[in-house]
Amino acid sequence: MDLKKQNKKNGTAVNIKSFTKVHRKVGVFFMPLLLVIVITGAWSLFRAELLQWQFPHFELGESSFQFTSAESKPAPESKPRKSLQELVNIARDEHGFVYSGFSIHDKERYGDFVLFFNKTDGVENMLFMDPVSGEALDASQASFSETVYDLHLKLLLPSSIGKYLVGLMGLLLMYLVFTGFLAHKNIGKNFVQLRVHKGRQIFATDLHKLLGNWSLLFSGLMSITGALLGLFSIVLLVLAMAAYGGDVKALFADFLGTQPKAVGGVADFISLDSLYQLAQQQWEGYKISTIEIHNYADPAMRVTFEGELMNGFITQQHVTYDAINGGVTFVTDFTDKGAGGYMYSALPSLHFASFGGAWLKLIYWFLTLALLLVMVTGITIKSLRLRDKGFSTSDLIVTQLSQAVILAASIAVVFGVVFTELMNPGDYTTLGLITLVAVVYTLMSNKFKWLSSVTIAGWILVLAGIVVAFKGEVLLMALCLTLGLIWLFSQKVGSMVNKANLSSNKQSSTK
Amino acid sequence: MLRTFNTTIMAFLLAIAFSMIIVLFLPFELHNRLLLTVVFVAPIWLGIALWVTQKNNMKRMLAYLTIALIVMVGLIAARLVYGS
Repeated sequence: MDLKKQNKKNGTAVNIKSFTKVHRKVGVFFMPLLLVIVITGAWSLFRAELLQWQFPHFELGESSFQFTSAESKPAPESKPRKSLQELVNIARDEHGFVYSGFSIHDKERYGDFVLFFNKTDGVENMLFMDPVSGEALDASQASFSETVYDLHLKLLLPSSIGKYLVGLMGLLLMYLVFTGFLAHKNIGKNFVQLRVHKGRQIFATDLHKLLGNWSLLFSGLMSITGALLGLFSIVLLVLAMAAYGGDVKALFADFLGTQPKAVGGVADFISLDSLYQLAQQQWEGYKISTIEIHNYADPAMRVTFEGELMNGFITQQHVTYDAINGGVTFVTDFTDKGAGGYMYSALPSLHFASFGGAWLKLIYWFLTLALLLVMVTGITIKSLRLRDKGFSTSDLIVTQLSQAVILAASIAVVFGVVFTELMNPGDYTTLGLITLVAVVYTLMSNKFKWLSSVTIAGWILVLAGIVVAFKGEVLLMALCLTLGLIWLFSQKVGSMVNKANLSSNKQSSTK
Repeated sequence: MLRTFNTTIMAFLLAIAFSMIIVLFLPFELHNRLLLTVVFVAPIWLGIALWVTQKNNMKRMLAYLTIALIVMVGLIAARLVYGS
């Protein structure tokens, strides 16, 4: 009630203080989890590249089946890629991937690897294959890129629980972004104000507001789309309850069609490459990313092609063929579903940055770095406010965990993509050990006043960036260097603030 | 913190109730309504959560939210029972 009176006195319509209070409390409390999700999300942008950096000995061909047709000639020095049907035959005959229903993922998300995917009784079976030689990744080698993506998608928890948790974190991040935005009086001013010479304390706060405001749209969009993708199944359940009498399967069938059950026996089917050509002619500008195969070689075999229509609006389109006679059995066309169709089908593309090339991913990367800097300067401001009182136990735990997360993420990246021979953080045990080391170091460093974990993380990444520069990996170098420098800069701001705080304490005591 | 959780969960329930009303009552084609709902759940949730935070009077807000939720559930139930 006091707050209300104060606001009335100030003449502000919005209750600013309550926003500030919630922003501080929620922000600090969920920082470690949010950091895990944001950092892994940033690296997941380069999921395909991570895979190739980890396994550089594969000589990979063109990234899409689109270029295997006779008219388009691949570059003379690159070896031609095997056709779709040949790859499926190799997967079945040589690598024992004999499931009757599976999907093949092509294009950017897995780089130039082709991924064969099957899920039976909750167990995911994956086969990464080199499309030129047909050679498969050793199944004992866990891929770092998949672990990073799993962390981002579901925090390595069982699928549904993890997804809901990440979705809820998305909601919270969205809440934080907007309470932060509304917690200030002069919102317009915060877009331009960066007072460098008025004490470092003011500098840190200004930086937090400035970056927060400029990255508002991006962080808001990422958190909204992320939250929706995470909580999608809950929303679907509710919708199915309202519109389909509680039958989620009926809802899916209405959108994606149903596949017939296997009849048994073997039938001759049209080659997957021919079906691919047919699917490409379905829409102009259709970019196929996933091929789903149901009842392989059965008389009831169906092949679904999923992809994006790049016609200004990005929409997810599906087309299913009967593989025996080549007829279309079901088409999901989001362009004929009105505004809802366009908006819904743009969500995943916006979140995964799948509608542009490397440049778009880099832009997303830098915007994510801005978000990370906003989060870390947030903690700096908090620690500044509590400097005289000392941290409460929960704040102390949360801050140290955040530092440990940053350190662990940096160590994991360095071993995952630069020094890949030493250990593989794609393996959960190794990742756990790395995290344990990071936590122990953070505790020790805080007790014995060693170099802070975030500074170490920054230096590790910068050094890794320099090592990678000698290998000629420009993109990886840029990523490591920028992330490392962001951590170092955030610590610089922190130490500057600490120094500045001493003088401001003196000033206040003299006053 | 507990208050934030209360608001979060309450706001989420309300957002879902709102979405069901969109699905049931809007005069568009069914697919369009369903997809619009998926898109709008999170912004509706955000709106409610921000509004509650800004009011900062938890007891009264919880009462408002509960009443709103009951009214919406009533509306949805009525539509499901008597609607075409």
